[in-house]
Amino acid sequence: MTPIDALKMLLRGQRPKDALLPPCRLEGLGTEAYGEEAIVNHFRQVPFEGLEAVASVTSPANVALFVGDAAVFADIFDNRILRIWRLGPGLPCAAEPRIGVPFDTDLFQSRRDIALRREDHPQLDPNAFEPVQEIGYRLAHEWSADDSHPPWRSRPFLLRAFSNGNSGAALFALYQLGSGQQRSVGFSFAAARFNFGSASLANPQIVRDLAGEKAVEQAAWRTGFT
Amino acid sequence: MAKWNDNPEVLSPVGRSFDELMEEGPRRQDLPGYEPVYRDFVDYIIRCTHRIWEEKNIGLCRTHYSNDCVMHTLTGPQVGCEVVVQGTIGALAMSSDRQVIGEDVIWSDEENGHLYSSHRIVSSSTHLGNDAMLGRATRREAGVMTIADCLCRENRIVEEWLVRDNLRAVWQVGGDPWAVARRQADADREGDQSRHEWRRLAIDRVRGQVGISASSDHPARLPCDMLRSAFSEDMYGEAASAFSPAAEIHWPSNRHGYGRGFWIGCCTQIRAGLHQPSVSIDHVAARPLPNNDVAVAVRWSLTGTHAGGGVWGEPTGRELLIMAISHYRIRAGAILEDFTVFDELAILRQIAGGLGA
Repeated sequence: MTPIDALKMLLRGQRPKDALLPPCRLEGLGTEAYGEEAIVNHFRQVPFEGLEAVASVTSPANVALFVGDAAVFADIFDNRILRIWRLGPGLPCAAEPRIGVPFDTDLFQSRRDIALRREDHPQLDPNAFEPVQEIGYRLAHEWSADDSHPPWRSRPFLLRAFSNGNSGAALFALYQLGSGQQRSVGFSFAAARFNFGSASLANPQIVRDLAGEKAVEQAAWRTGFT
Repeated sequence: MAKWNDNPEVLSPVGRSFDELMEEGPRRQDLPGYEPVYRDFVDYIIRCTHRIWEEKNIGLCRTHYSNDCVMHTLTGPQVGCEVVVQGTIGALAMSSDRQVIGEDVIWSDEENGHLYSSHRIVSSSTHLGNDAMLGRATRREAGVMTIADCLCRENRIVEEWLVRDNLRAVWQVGGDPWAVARRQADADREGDQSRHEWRRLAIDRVRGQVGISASSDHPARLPCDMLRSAFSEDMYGEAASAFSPAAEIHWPSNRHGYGRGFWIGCCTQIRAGLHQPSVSIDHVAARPLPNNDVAVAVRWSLTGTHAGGGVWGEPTGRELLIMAISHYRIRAGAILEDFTVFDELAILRQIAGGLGA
Protein backbone atom coordinates (compact mmCIF):
# COMPACT_ATOMS: atom_id res chain seq x y z
CA MET A 1 0.00 0.00 0.00
CA THR A 2 1.41 3.40 -0.91
CA PRO A 3 1.49 6.16 1.71
CA ILE A 4 -1.14 8.06 -0.30
CA ASP A 5 -3.49 5.06 -0.27
CA ALA A 6 -2.87 4.59 3.44
CA LEU A 7 -3.57 8.25 4.13
CA LYS A 8 -6.81 8.14 2.12
CA MET A 9 -7.98 5.13 4.15
CA LEU A 10 -7.14 6.96 7.31
CA LEU A 11 -8.98 10.08 6.20
CA ARG A 12 -12.10 7.96 5.67
CA GLY A 13 -11.80 6.77 9.26
CA GLN A 14 -10.45 3.33 8.36
CA ARG A 15 -7.34 1.65 9.74
CA PRO A 16 -4.66 1.05 7.14
CA LYS A 17 -2.76 -2.12 8.07
CA ASP A 18 0.89 -1.61 9.07
CA ALA A 19 0.98 1.87 7.57
CA LEU A 20 1.62 3.94 10.69
CA LEU A 21 4.88 3.73 12.61
CA PRO A 22 4.39 3.21 16.38
CA PRO A 23 5.46 6.76 17.37
CA CYS A 24 3.11 8.34 14.81
CA ARG A 25 1.82 11.74 15.95
CA LEU A 26 -1.14 13.68 14.57
CA GLU A 27 -1.76 17.38 14.94
CA GLY A 28 -5.07 18.71 13.72
CA LEU A 29 -8.27 20.49 14.68
CA GLY A 30 -6.37 22.21 17.46
CA THR A 31 -5.31 19.05 19.22
CA GLU A 32 -2.80 16.19 19.14
CA ALA A 33 -3.18 12.42 18.99
CA TYR A 34 -0.41 9.90 19.53
CA GLY A 35 -0.28 6.32 18.27
CA GLU A 36 -2.34 4.37 15.79
CA GLU A 37 -5.47 3.86 17.88
CA ALA A 38 -5.81 7.52 18.82
CA ILE A 39 -5.15 8.67 15.27
CA VAL A 40 -7.62 6.24 13.69
CA ASN A 41 -10.17 7.26 16.30
CA HIS A 42 -9.61 10.94 15.44
CA PHE A 43 -10.41 10.38 11.76
CA ARG A 44 -13.25 7.99 12.57
CA GLN A 45 -14.93 10.75 14.55
CA VAL A 46 -14.26 13.48 11.96
CA PRO A 47 -13.65 11.81 8.58
CA PHE A 48 -12.81 13.62 5.38
CA GLU A 49 -15.27 13.95 2.54
CA GLY A 50 -14.68 14.48 -1.18
CA LEU A 51 -11.71 12.17 -1.43
CA GLU A 52 -12.43 11.49 -5.08
CA ALA A 53 -10.83 14.83 -5.97
CA VAL A 54 -7.43 14.90 -4.31
CA ALA A 55 -4.38 16.82 -5.45
CA SER A 56 -1.10 15.51 -4.13
CA VAL A 57 2.57 16.41 -3.95
CA THR A 58 5.04 13.75 -2.88
CA SER A 59 8.71 13.35 -2.14
CA PRO A 60 10.54 10.28 -0.77
CA ALA A 61 10.04 11.64 2.74
CA ASN A 62 6.77 13.59 2.54
CA VAL A 63 3.23 13.50 1.23
CA ALA A 64 0.80 16.38 0.94
CA LEU A 65 -2.84 15.88 0.02
CA PHE A 66 -5.16 18.76 -0.80
CA VAL A 67 -8.86 17.98 -0.58
CA GLY A 68 -11.05 21.00 -1.26
CA ASP A 69 -10.52 23.46 1.57
CA ALA A 70 -8.58 20.94 3.64
CA ALA A 71 -5.10 19.45 3.50
CA VAL A 72 -3.05 16.69 5.08
CA PHE A 73 0.73 16.54 5.35
CA ALA A 74 2.69 13.47 6.39
CA ASP A 75 6.31 12.51 7.09
CA ILE A 76 7.20 9.17 5.52
CA PHE A 77 9.91 6.62 6.31
CA ASP A 78 10.15 3.58 4.02
CA ASN A 79 6.52 3.99 2.96
CA ARG A 80 5.29 4.23 6.54
CA ILE A 81 3.82 7.29 8.18
CA LEU A 82 5.60 8.90 11.14
CA ARG A 83 3.77 12.18 11.49
CA ILE A 84 0.55 13.78 10.23
CA TRP A 85 -0.84 17.32 10.17
CA ARG A 86 -4.51 17.93 9.38
CA LEU A 87 -5.65 21.38 8.29
CA GLY A 88 -9.02 22.73 7.32
CA PRO A 89 -12.41 23.82 8.55
CA GLY A 90 -14.24 22.29 11.47
CA LEU A 91 -14.80 22.56 15.15
CA PRO A 92 -11.71 22.42 17.34
CA CYS A 93 -11.29 19.33 19.49
CA ALA A 94 -10.78 19.61 23.22
CA ALA A 95 -7.11 20.34 23.78
CA GLU A 96 -4.93 19.41 26.72
CA PRO A 97 -3.91 22.11 29.18
CA ARG A 98 -0.61 23.75 28.38
CA ILE A 99 1.60 26.34 30.00
CA GLY A 100 1.68 29.56 28.02
CA VAL A 101 5.21 30.55 27.05
CA PRO A 102 5.67 34.32 26.65
CA PHE A 103 8.08 34.81 23.77
CA ASP A 104 9.25 37.12 21.03
CA THR A 105 8.71 35.76 17.52
CA ASP A 106 11.09 38.20 15.87
CA LEU A 107 14.12 38.97 18.12
CA PHE A 108 14.38 42.14 16.09
CA GLN A 109 12.78 45.59 16.25
CA SER A 110 12.15 45.72 12.53
CA ARG A 111 9.69 42.85 12.40
CA ARG A 112 10.69 39.66 10.59
CA ASP A 113 8.21 38.25 8.11
CA ILE A 114 8.91 34.55 8.11
CA ALA A 115 11.17 32.07 9.88
CA LEU A 116 12.81 29.57 7.56
CA ARG A 117 16.14 28.08 6.58
CA ARG A 118 16.89 26.64 3.17
CA GLU A 119 19.05 23.76 4.50
CA ASP A 120 16.15 22.39 6.54
CA HIS A 121 14.40 21.31 3.34
CA PRO A 122 16.67 19.14 1.20
CA GLN A 123 13.70 17.75 -0.76
CA LEU A 124 12.80 21.19 -2.05
CA ASP A 125 14.10 22.14 -5.49
CA PRO A 126 16.35 25.21 -5.03
CA ASN A 127 14.20 26.99 -7.62
CA ALA A 128 11.18 26.52 -5.38
CA PHE A 129 12.68 28.28 -2.38
CA GLU A 130 11.72 31.78 -3.47
CA PRO A 131 8.10 30.81 -4.12
CA VAL A 132 7.95 29.31 -0.63
CA GLN A 133 9.31 32.54 0.82
CA GLU A 134 6.75 34.48 -1.16
CA ILE A 135 3.92 32.32 0.20
CA GLY A 136 5.20 32.80 3.73
CA TYR A 137 5.36 36.52 3.14
CA ARG A 138 1.74 36.52 1.96
CA LEU A 139 0.68 34.55 5.02
CA ALA A 140 2.33 37.10 7.24
CA HIS A 141 0.93 40.16 5.44
CA GLU A 142 -2.24 39.28 3.58
CA TRP A 143 -3.85 37.22 6.25
CA SER A 144 -6.62 39.75 6.62
CA ALA A 145 -7.84 39.68 2.99
CA ASP A 146 -11.12 37.92 3.79
CA ASP A 147 -11.03 38.13 7.53
CA SER A 148 -13.09 40.54 9.57
CA HIS A 149 -10.88 40.07 12.65
CA PRO A 150 -7.31 39.80 11.37
CA PRO A 151 -4.70 38.92 13.94
CA TRP A 152 -2.55 41.68 15.34
CA ARG A 153 0.54 39.70 14.48
CA SER A 154 0.99 36.64 12.31
CA ARG A 155 4.32 34.85 11.86
CA PRO A 156 4.86 31.78 9.68
CA PHE A 157 7.52 29.21 10.60
CA LEU A 158 8.33 26.89 7.71
CA LEU A 159 8.10 23.29 8.95
CA ARG A 160 8.10 21.24 5.75
CA ALA A 161 8.71 22.12 2.11
CA PHE A 162 9.33 19.74 -0.78
CA SER A 163 8.78 19.47 -4.48
CA ASN A 164 8.26 17.00 -7.26
CA GLY A 165 8.81 18.22 -10.80
CA ASN A 166 7.39 21.72 -10.93
CA SER A 167 4.94 21.14 -8.08
CA GLY A 168 5.74 22.12 -4.55
CA ALA A 169 4.12 21.92 -1.13
CA ALA A 170 4.84 23.80 2.08
CA LEU A 171 3.58 23.51 5.64
CA PHE A 172 3.85 26.43 8.02
CA ALA A 173 3.22 26.74 11.74
CA LEU A 174 1.44 30.04 12.07
CA TYR A 175 1.80 32.06 15.24
CA GLN A 176 -1.13 34.35 15.89
CA LEU A 177 -1.45 37.18 18.35
CA GLY A 178 -5.12 38.18 18.29
CA SER A 179 -6.35 41.69 17.65
CA GLY A 180 -8.69 41.93 20.65
CA GLN A 181 -7.92 44.06 23.67
CA GLN A 182 -7.09 40.84 25.45
CA ARG A 183 -5.07 38.97 22.86
CA SER A 184 -5.44 35.34 21.96
CA VAL A 185 -2.08 33.59 21.55
CA GLY A 186 -1.01 30.38 19.92
CA PHE A 187 -0.01 28.37 16.89
CA SER A 188 -2.14 26.99 14.09
CA PHE A 189 -0.99 25.81 10.66
CA ALA A 190 -1.20 26.80 7.01
CA ALA A 191 -0.42 24.73 3.92
CA ALA A 192 0.34 25.67 0.34
CA ARG A 193 0.48 23.90 -3.01
CA PHE A 194 2.14 25.75 -5.82
CA ASN A 195 3.81 25.46 -9.19
CA PHE A 196 7.16 27.03 -9.85
CA GLY A 197 9.41 27.61 -12.78
CA SER A 198 7.86 30.73 -14.24
CA ALA A 199 8.95 34.23 -13.27
CA SER A 200 6.12 34.84 -10.82
CA LEU A 201 4.24 32.71 -8.36
CA ALA A 202 0.90 31.88 -9.96
CA ASN A 203 -2.09 31.40 -7.68
CA PRO A 204 -0.84 29.06 -4.99
CA GLN A 205 -3.51 27.06 -3.21
CA ILE A 206 -3.48 28.07 0.44
CA VAL A 207 -5.25 25.97 3.07
CA ARG A 208 -5.76 27.50 6.46
CA ASP A 209 -6.13 25.53 9.66
CA LEU A 210 -9.46 27.15 10.46
CA ALA A 211 -10.26 24.73 13.28
CA GLY A 212 -6.82 25.36 14.75
CA GLU A 213 -7.34 29.10 14.49
CA LYS A 214 -10.59 28.78 16.43
CA ALA A 215 -8.76 26.69 19.00
CA VAL A 216 -6.20 29.47 19.41
CA GLU A 217 -8.98 32.03 19.87
CA GLN A 218 -10.64 29.89 22.54
CA ALA A 219 -7.52 28.65 24.32
CA ALA A 220 -6.87 29.58 27.92
CA TRP A 221 -3.61 31.36 28.65
CA ARG A 222 -2.13 29.57 31.64
CA THR A 223 0.67 31.39 33.38
CA GLY A 224 0.98 28.91 36.22
CA PHE A 225 -0.25 25.61 37.57
CA THR A 226 -3.15 26.74 39.71
CA MET B 1 38.51 5.81 22.06
CA ALA B 2 35.14 5.16 20.46
CA LYS B 3 33.69 7.82 18.20
CA TRP B 4 30.07 8.90 18.24
CA ASN B 5 29.41 7.55 14.75
CA ASP B 6 31.23 4.19 15.04
CA ASN B 7 29.17 1.06 14.41
CA PRO B 8 27.01 2.53 11.63
CA GLU B 9 25.29 -0.86 11.33
CA VAL B 10 23.64 -0.21 14.71
CA LEU B 11 20.66 1.78 13.53
CA SER B 12 18.47 4.25 15.33
CA PRO B 13 14.88 3.03 15.78
CA VAL B 14 13.66 6.19 14.03
CA GLY B 15 11.60 5.26 10.97
CA ARG B 16 11.62 1.50 11.66
CA SER B 17 8.44 -0.52 12.07
CA PHE B 18 7.77 -2.55 15.20
CA ASP B 19 8.07 -5.80 13.22
CA GLU B 20 11.46 -4.74 11.95
CA LEU B 21 12.58 -3.76 15.44
CA MET B 22 11.47 -7.12 16.85
CA GLU B 23 12.96 -9.25 14.08
CA GLU B 24 15.33 -11.81 15.53
CA GLY B 25 18.65 -12.65 13.92
CA PRO B 26 22.42 -12.72 14.31
CA ARG B 27 24.45 -10.20 16.27
CA ARG B 28 25.22 -6.90 14.59
CA GLN B 29 27.52 -5.65 17.34
CA ASP B 30 29.93 -7.21 19.78
CA LEU B 31 28.01 -7.39 23.09
CA PRO B 32 29.96 -9.51 25.58
CA GLY B 33 27.80 -10.84 28.40
CA TYR B 34 24.48 -9.89 26.80
CA GLU B 35 21.73 -12.44 26.09
CA PRO B 36 21.99 -13.92 22.58
CA VAL B 37 18.56 -12.56 21.64
CA TYR B 38 19.94 -9.01 21.58
CA ARG B 39 21.35 -8.16 18.17
CA ASP B 40 22.89 -4.82 19.12
CA PHE B 41 22.71 -2.28 21.94
CA VAL B 42 19.72 -0.42 20.50
CA ASP B 43 17.93 -3.75 20.20
CA TYR B 44 18.80 -4.53 23.83
CA ILE B 45 17.13 -1.31 25.01
CA ILE B 46 14.04 -1.55 22.77
CA ARG B 47 13.52 -5.30 23.16
CA CYS B 48 14.06 -5.58 26.92
CA THR B 49 11.66 -2.66 27.44
CA HIS B 50 9.09 -4.50 25.34
CA ARG B 51 9.64 -7.80 27.15
CA ILE B 52 9.34 -6.21 30.58
CA TRP B 53 6.54 -3.66 30.03
CA GLU B 54 4.40 -5.02 27.21
CA GLU B 55 4.96 -8.78 27.51
CA LYS B 56 4.72 -8.29 31.31
CA ASN B 57 7.78 -10.42 32.06
CA ILE B 58 8.66 -8.07 34.87
CA GLY B 59 10.94 -10.60 36.53
CA LEU B 60 13.39 -9.96 33.70
CA CYS B 61 14.35 -6.86 35.67
CA ARG B 62 16.34 -9.26 37.86
CA THR B 63 18.57 -10.20 34.93
CA HIS B 64 18.58 -6.72 33.37
CA TYR B 65 19.36 -4.58 36.44
CA SER B 66 22.28 -5.08 38.78
CA ASN B 67 21.52 -5.78 42.42
CA ASP B 68 23.04 -2.44 43.42
CA CYS B 69 21.67 -0.45 40.48
CA VAL B 70 20.92 3.16 41.40
CA MET B 71 17.97 4.78 39.67
CA HIS B 72 18.11 8.57 39.87
CA THR B 73 14.95 10.65 39.58
CA LEU B 74 14.09 14.12 40.78
CA THR B 75 12.23 12.55 43.67
CA GLY B 76 15.34 10.79 44.92
CA PRO B 77 17.49 7.77 44.13
CA GLN B 78 16.28 4.21 44.48
CA VAL B 79 18.61 1.25 44.82
CA GLY B 80 18.36 -2.34 43.66
CA CYS B 81 16.56 -4.38 41.06
CA GLU B 82 13.80 -5.43 43.47
CA VAL B 83 12.75 -1.79 43.74
CA VAL B 84 12.55 -1.69 39.94
CA VAL B 85 10.47 -4.88 39.89
CA GLN B 86 8.03 -3.52 42.47
CA GLY B 87 7.79 -0.12 40.77
CA THR B 88 7.08 -1.70 37.39
CA ILE B 89 4.37 -3.97 38.82
CA GLY B 90 2.79 -0.96 40.53
CA ALA B 91 2.82 1.11 37.35
CA LEU B 92 1.29 -1.72 35.33
CA ALA B 93 -1.35 -2.38 37.96
CA MET B 94 -2.47 1.23 37.41
CA SER B 95 -2.10 1.35 33.62
CA SER B 96 -1.96 -2.24 32.45
CA ASP B 97 -2.44 -1.44 28.77
CA ARG B 98 0.62 0.76 28.70
CA GLN B 99 2.46 0.88 25.39
CA VAL B 100 6.06 1.95 25.80
CA ILE B 101 6.82 3.40 22.41
CA GLY B 102 10.48 4.02 21.78
CA GLU B 103 11.04 7.13 19.70
CA ASP B 104 14.84 7.02 19.73
CA VAL B 105 17.83 5.45 21.45
CA ILE B 106 20.92 7.65 21.39
CA TRP B 107 23.88 5.75 22.76
CA SER B 108 27.58 5.94 23.44
CA ASP B 109 30.42 3.55 24.18
CA GLU B 110 31.79 4.53 27.59
CA GLU B 111 34.80 2.19 27.38
CA ASN B 112 35.60 -0.63 29.85
CA GLY B 113 32.61 -2.64 28.67
CA HIS B 114 30.08 0.04 29.56
CA LEU B 115 27.50 1.28 27.08
CA TYR B 116 25.21 4.22 27.76
CA SER B 117 21.75 4.72 26.25
CA SER B 118 19.38 7.66 26.21
CA HIS B 119 15.97 6.20 25.41
CA ARG B 120 13.13 8.56 24.51
CA ILE B 121 9.76 6.97 25.13
CA VAL B 122 6.14 7.97 24.94
CA SER B 123 4.13 5.77 27.28
CA SER B 124 0.52 5.63 26.27
CA SER B 125 -2.06 4.07 28.58
CA THR B 126 -5.50 4.22 30.16
CA HIS B 127 -5.72 5.28 33.80
CA LEU B 128 -7.66 2.19 34.94
CA GLY B 129 -6.22 1.67 38.41
CA ASN B 130 -5.65 3.78 41.50
CA ASP B 131 -2.22 5.36 41.81
CA ALA B 132 -0.32 7.24 44.50
CA MET B 133 0.50 10.15 42.21
CA LEU B 134 -2.47 10.22 39.81
CA GLY B 135 -5.08 9.26 42.40
CA ARG B 136 -8.22 7.20 41.85
CA ALA B 137 -8.74 5.65 38.43
CA THR B 138 -10.27 8.15 36.04
CA ARG B 139 -10.42 5.90 32.93
CA ARG B 140 -8.85 8.75 30.98
CA GLU B 141 -6.10 8.35 28.42
CA ALA B 142 -2.65 9.44 29.47
CA GLY B 143 0.49 9.62 27.40
CA VAL B 144 3.61 11.49 28.36
CA MET B 145 7.24 11.57 27.38
CA THR B 146 9.95 9.88 29.41
CA ILE B 147 13.67 9.80 28.76
CA ALA B 148 15.62 7.03 30.48
CA ASP B 149 19.42 7.23 30.46
CA CYS B 150 20.97 3.87 31.32
CA LEU B 151 24.56 2.87 31.96
CA CYS B 152 24.81 -0.80 31.04
CA ARG B 153 27.29 -3.63 31.30
CA GLU B 154 26.91 -7.32 30.47
CA ASN B 155 23.14 -7.35 30.04
CA ARG B 156 22.46 -5.24 33.12
CA ILE B 157 21.61 -1.64 33.77
CA VAL B 158 24.00 -0.56 36.51
CA GLU B 159 22.83 3.05 36.84
CA GLU B 160 19.81 4.89 35.48
CA TRP B 161 18.64 8.51 35.28
CA LEU B 162 14.92 8.83 34.61
CA VAL B 163 12.97 11.98 33.74
CA ARG B 164 9.24 11.96 33.08
CA ASP B 165 6.76 14.72 32.29
CA ASN B 166 4.71 13.88 35.39
CA LEU B 167 2.93 17.20 35.58
CA ARG B 168 1.40 16.67 32.16
CA ALA B 169 0.26 13.21 33.28
CA VAL B 170 -1.53 14.77 36.26
CA TRP B 171 -3.21 17.25 33.93
CA GLN B 172 -4.25 14.49 31.54
CA VAL B 173 -6.22 12.69 34.23
CA GLY B 174 -7.83 15.94 35.41
CA GLY B 175 -5.68 16.36 38.51
CA ASP B 176 -4.43 19.51 40.24
CA PRO B 177 -0.60 19.59 40.11
CA TRP B 178 -0.22 21.89 43.11
CA ALA B 179 -2.52 19.73 45.23
CA VAL B 180 -0.49 16.63 44.34
CA ALA B 181 2.81 18.44 44.96
CA ARG B 182 1.69 19.79 48.35
CA ARG B 183 0.51 16.35 49.43
CA GLN B 184 3.86 14.88 48.45
CA ALA B 185 5.71 17.69 50.23
CA ASP B 186 3.70 17.11 53.42
CA ALA B 187 4.79 13.47 53.36
CA ASP B 188 8.41 14.50 52.73
CA ARG B 189 8.43 16.62 55.89
CA GLU B 190 7.56 13.64 58.05
CA GLY B 191 10.04 11.12 59.38
CA ASP B 192 13.81 10.98 59.11
CA GLN B 193 14.95 13.92 57.00
CA SER B 194 18.32 12.34 56.29
CA ARG B 195 16.63 10.40 53.49
CA HIS B 196 16.57 13.64 51.50
CA GLU B 197 20.30 14.28 51.87
CA TRP B 198 20.80 13.27 48.23
CA ARG B 199 19.14 16.50 47.11
CA ARG B 200 21.58 18.74 49.01
CA LEU B 201 24.49 16.71 47.66
CA ALA B 202 23.15 17.00 44.13
CA ILE B 203 22.71 20.76 44.47
CA ASP B 204 26.27 21.06 45.84
CA ARG B 205 27.55 19.06 42.88
CA VAL B 206 25.83 21.32 40.36
CA ARG B 207 26.97 24.42 42.28
CA GLY B 208 30.50 23.06 42.00
CA GLN B 209 29.86 22.60 38.28
CA VAL B 210 31.66 19.28 38.13
CA GLY B 211 30.22 18.75 34.69
CA ILE B 212 31.70 17.49 31.46
CA SER B 213 32.40 19.05 28.12
CA ALA B 214 31.92 17.70 24.62
CA SER B 215 34.94 17.82 22.34
CA SER B 216 34.89 20.36 19.54
CA ASP B 217 34.27 17.69 16.90
CA HIS B 218 31.37 16.06 18.76
CA PRO B 219 27.83 17.03 17.65
CA ALA B 220 26.85 17.60 21.29
CA ARG B 221 29.20 20.57 21.49
CA LEU B 222 26.57 22.76 19.85
CA PRO B 223 23.78 22.19 22.42
CA CYS B 224 26.24 22.07 25.34
CA ASP B 225 27.58 25.51 24.46
CA MET B 226 24.02 26.66 23.96
CA LEU B 227 22.85 25.52 27.41
CA ARG B 228 25.88 27.06 29.10
CA SER B 229 25.50 30.30 27.20
CA ALA B 230 21.86 30.51 28.29
CA PHE B 231 22.02 29.43 31.91
CA SER B 232 25.57 30.47 32.88
CA GLU B 233 25.85 33.71 30.92
CA ASP B 234 22.23 34.72 30.23
CA MET B 235 23.18 35.16 26.56
CA TYR B 236 19.92 33.74 25.27
CA GLY B 237 20.05 35.26 21.80
CA GLU B 238 23.52 33.90 21.15
CA ALA B 239 22.54 30.56 22.60
CA ALA B 240 19.43 30.30 20.42
CA SER B 241 21.45 30.83 17.26
CA ALA B 242 22.19 27.10 17.54
CA PHE B 243 18.62 26.52 16.36
CA SER B 244 17.15 26.73 12.91
CA PRO B 245 14.87 29.82 12.82
CA ALA B 246 11.88 27.48 12.47
CA ALA B 247 12.97 24.80 14.96
CA GLU B 248 10.29 22.84 16.79
CA ILE B 249 10.48 22.90 20.57
CA HIS B 250 8.85 20.40 22.99
CA TRP B 251 9.36 21.16 26.67
CA PRO B 252 7.52 19.74 29.68
CA SER B 253 3.96 20.53 30.71
CA ASN B 254 2.93 20.74 27.05
CA ARG B 255 5.13 23.68 26.09
CA HIS B 256 5.16 23.22 22.33
CA GLY B 257 6.16 25.90 19.85
CA TYR B 258 8.45 27.00 17.07
CA GLY B 259 11.43 29.23 16.60
CA ARG B 260 14.41 30.56 18.50
CA GLY B 261 12.27 33.00 20.43
CA PHE B 262 10.05 30.21 21.75
CA TRP B 263 13.08 28.34 23.10
CA ILE B 264 14.32 31.53 24.74
CA GLY B 265 10.83 31.93 26.23
CA CYS B 266 11.03 28.44 27.75
CA CYS B 267 14.44 29.22 29.26
CA THR B 268 13.57 32.65 30.62
CA GLN B 269 10.30 31.36 32.02
CA ILE B 270 12.16 29.03 34.38
CA ARG B 271 15.20 31.29 34.80
CA ALA B 272 12.94 34.13 36.03
CA GLY B 273 12.08 32.08 39.08
CA LEU B 274 15.62 30.76 39.62
CA HIS B 275 18.13 33.28 40.89
CA GLN B 276 21.89 32.63 40.95
CA PRO B 277 21.62 29.58 38.74
CA SER B 278 24.27 26.97 38.07
CA VAL B 279 24.11 24.54 35.18
CA SER B 280 26.02 21.30 34.79
CA ILE B 281 26.32 19.15 31.67
CA ASP B 282 26.33 15.60 32.99
CA HIS B 283 26.41 13.36 29.92
CA VAL B 284 26.34 13.58 26.13
CA ALA B 285 25.82 11.10 23.32
CA ALA B 286 25.15 11.32 19.60
CA ARG B 287 24.18 8.94 16.82
CA PRO B 288 23.48 9.21 13.10
CA LEU B 289 19.85 9.41 12.00
CA PRO B 290 18.31 8.64 8.60
CA ASN B 291 18.69 11.31 5.91
CA ASN B 292 22.01 12.58 7.31
CA ASP B 293 20.46 14.08 10.43
CA VAL B 294 22.20 13.63 13.78
CA ALA B 295 20.55 12.83 17.11
CA VAL B 296 22.15 14.27 20.23
CA ALA B 297 21.30 13.50 23.85
CA VAL B 298 22.36 15.82 26.67
CA ARG B 299 21.67 15.15 30.34
CA TRP B 300 21.99 18.35 32.33
CA SER B 301 21.21 19.73 35.76
CA LEU B 302 20.19 23.18 36.85
CA THR B 303 19.99 24.64 40.32
CA GLY B 304 19.15 28.03 41.72
CA THR B 305 17.27 29.89 44.42
CA HIS B 306 13.53 30.27 43.96
CA ALA B 307 13.68 34.03 44.45
CA GLY B 308 11.61 35.26 41.52
CA GLY B 309 7.91 35.03 40.76
CA GLY B 310 6.37 33.62 37.64
CA VAL B 311 5.28 30.23 36.46
CA TRP B 312 6.04 28.54 39.81
CA GLY B 313 4.22 31.10 41.94
CA GLU B 314 5.44 33.40 44.68
CA PRO B 315 9.15 33.08 45.53
CA THR B 316 9.93 30.84 48.48
CA GLY B 317 13.72 31.16 48.79
CA ARG B 318 14.03 27.39 48.38
CA GLU B 319 17.05 25.95 46.61
CA LEU B 320 15.66 24.06 43.63
CA LEU B 321 17.17 21.20 41.66
CA ILE B 322 16.22 20.29 38.10
CA MET B 323 17.42 17.19 36.31
CA ALA B 324 16.76 17.40 32.59
CA ILE B 325 17.48 15.34 29.50
CA SER B 326 17.27 16.89 26.04
CA HIS B 327 17.20 15.14 22.69
CA TYR B 328 18.09 17.28 19.70
CA ARG B 329 17.83 16.58 15.99
CA ILE B 330 20.54 18.41 14.10
CA ARG B 331 20.50 19.02 10.36
CA ALA B 332 23.19 20.86 8.42
CA GLY B 333 24.70 22.37 11.55
CA ALA B 334 21.53 23.64 13.24
CA ILE B 335 19.09 22.17 15.74
CA LEU B 336 15.80 21.38 14.04
CA GLU B 337 13.99 19.76 16.95
CA ASP B 338 14.33 19.87 20.73
CA PHE B 339 12.65 17.36 23.06
CA THR B 340 13.45 18.39 26.61
CA VAL B 341 12.01 16.50 29.57
CA PHE B 342 12.15 17.26 33.29
CA ASP B 343 9.77 16.48 36.12
CA GLU B 344 8.05 19.80 36.77
CA LEU B 345 5.77 18.18 39.34
CA ALA B 346 8.87 17.40 41.41
CA ILE B 347 9.88 21.07 41.11
CA LEU B 348 6.51 22.15 42.52
CA ARG B 349 7.05 19.58 45.30
CA GLN B 350 10.38 21.22 46.19
CA ILE B 351 8.75 24.66 46.14
CA ALA B 352 6.03 23.34 48.44
CA GLY B 353 8.74 22.42 50.95
CA GLY B 354 9.29 18.82 49.98
CA LEU B 355 12.37 16.57 49.65
CA GLY B 356 14.25 18.07 52.55
CA ALA B 357 15.70 21.38 53.63
